[in-house]
Amino acid sequence: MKLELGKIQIGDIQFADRTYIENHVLYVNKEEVEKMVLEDDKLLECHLDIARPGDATRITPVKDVIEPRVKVSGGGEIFPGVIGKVSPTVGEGRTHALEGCCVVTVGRIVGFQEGVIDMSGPAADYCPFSKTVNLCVVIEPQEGLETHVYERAGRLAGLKVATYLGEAGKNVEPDTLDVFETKPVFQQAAEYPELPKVGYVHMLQSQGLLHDTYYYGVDAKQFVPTFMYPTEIMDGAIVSGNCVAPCDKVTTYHHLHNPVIDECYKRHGKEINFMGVILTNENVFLADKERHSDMVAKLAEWMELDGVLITEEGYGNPDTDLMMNCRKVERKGTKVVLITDEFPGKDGKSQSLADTCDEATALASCGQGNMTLQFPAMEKVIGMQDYIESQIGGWAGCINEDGSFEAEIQIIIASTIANGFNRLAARGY
Amino acid sequence: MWELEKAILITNNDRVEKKYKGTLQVIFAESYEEVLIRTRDMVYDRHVLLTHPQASSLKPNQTPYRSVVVYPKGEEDNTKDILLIEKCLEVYYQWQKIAPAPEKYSDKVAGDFKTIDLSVIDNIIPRIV
Repeated sequence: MKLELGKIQIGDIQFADRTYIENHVLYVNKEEVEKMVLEDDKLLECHLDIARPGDATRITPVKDVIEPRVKVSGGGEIFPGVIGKVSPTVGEGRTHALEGCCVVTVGRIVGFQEGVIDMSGPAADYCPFSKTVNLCVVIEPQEGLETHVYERAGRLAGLKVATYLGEAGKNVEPDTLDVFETKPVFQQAAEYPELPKVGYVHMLQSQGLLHDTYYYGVDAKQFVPTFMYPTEIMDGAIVSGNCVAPCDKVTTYHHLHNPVIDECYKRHGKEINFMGVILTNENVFLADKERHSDMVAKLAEWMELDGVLITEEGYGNPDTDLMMNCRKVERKGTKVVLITDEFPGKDGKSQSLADTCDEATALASCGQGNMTLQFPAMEKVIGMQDYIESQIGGWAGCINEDGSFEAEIQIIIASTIANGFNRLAARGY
Repeated sequence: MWELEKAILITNNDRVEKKYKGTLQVIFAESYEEVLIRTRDMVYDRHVLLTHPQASSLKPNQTPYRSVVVYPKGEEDNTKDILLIEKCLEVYYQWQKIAPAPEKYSDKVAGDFKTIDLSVIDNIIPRIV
């Protein structure tokens, strides 16, 4: 499967009377987008706002972040099974991405709420979305909706807007064009016989309400481990429905920009033979954890992998899946490197993960979420600060009257994201 | 593989208790900590864990509610269950040391935590067959 990914650099977003791209500026018809979002009768209000890097602006509570993309050729549609048609599969042909801009869905989902993006100040150093131009879609639900109904409406609103904006890039000549290719398993193995065969075990959050991820529209807790071509993921075959753990939340943006996949492709044909992705989930039922980690190990063996990288999403019981995958894959004779973040207390001295195993001998850390930070007051808040104290990382009394607050960096979207797409990642030079 | 009537649900979430008390045996505990302790006691008394005691990615000092399902172990060795529940207790106390769980949440926030905990159990019950 071969994908050409064209990147159109976007330096600014401005509202205009129609939606188009010119000279690296994305012009957006505000009314049209708001109207499109409000076609969903679960949503009462929607308004758009723009946040730029360096602005004295705070965005909170954030539900999801999405990069606009569009399929130009090769069949399939972006976000298959959710926004686009479920068939044919994606990952082939050509896709254009609006690089440097994001759709950020903002609004209260549940009482304890989601994370924070600061566009400037000390917290901006911890968040990738402080460096992108963000179109914030602020939504307000109808009264009395069940949480899961509203969560779905919020999730679809962001994806719809991103798909709509992506269309504006369909006929724009991209600034860069990268080609990614993974061949069927036997051909791929034969292409670089002298290089170690490396796979990526990608664990999706799938524990229940507000902890879900979708694969071609399927709730991830309903599938068994399977193989994916990495390029399918670049076309939106995986979307986020997780809204409880800001710091290590894998947003839809992070699925599109998976750093493990990006790095493996950079080394593909040089240092490693990147064989593809084993997709699995993180379930609550212990029998599922055992069964699915067995299947992950079986797939790794079947692909004759020499090594795998494993990432997880979340903390607590996913650490058990992480360790089961590690143990079982290692016992099949495949070397494992784990990638995750840590929660070892403010001083960093307690145990970092909620589970361990003897085979976990190589781990790349993406930082620790318990560290605290002072968040200054901002001139502008997109969304609301009403929930800071009950947002994850905050505590009772942590916010001051002027809007400044102290909190653990857990409260910042993607600050310690457990796939390495952050500035706290360990890097080799 | 399992019979739902033999499974035991330990919870401090009244919404879980109310919904499932007619379906399987339910033990109601007063707190998150008590759920873990009662679970530990059941595991030491010849039960296995059917669900991970740290279900959901909410940190143990964030959510006040927890529900766990255990099952009579029969001939099965339950050493790994003992190790897991002990580990979960250790992690629970570690998080209380980092920052104690708030004593009281607003009704709205508490209600949302209950909803999430209930959704975890809603997904599990049909699997116990």
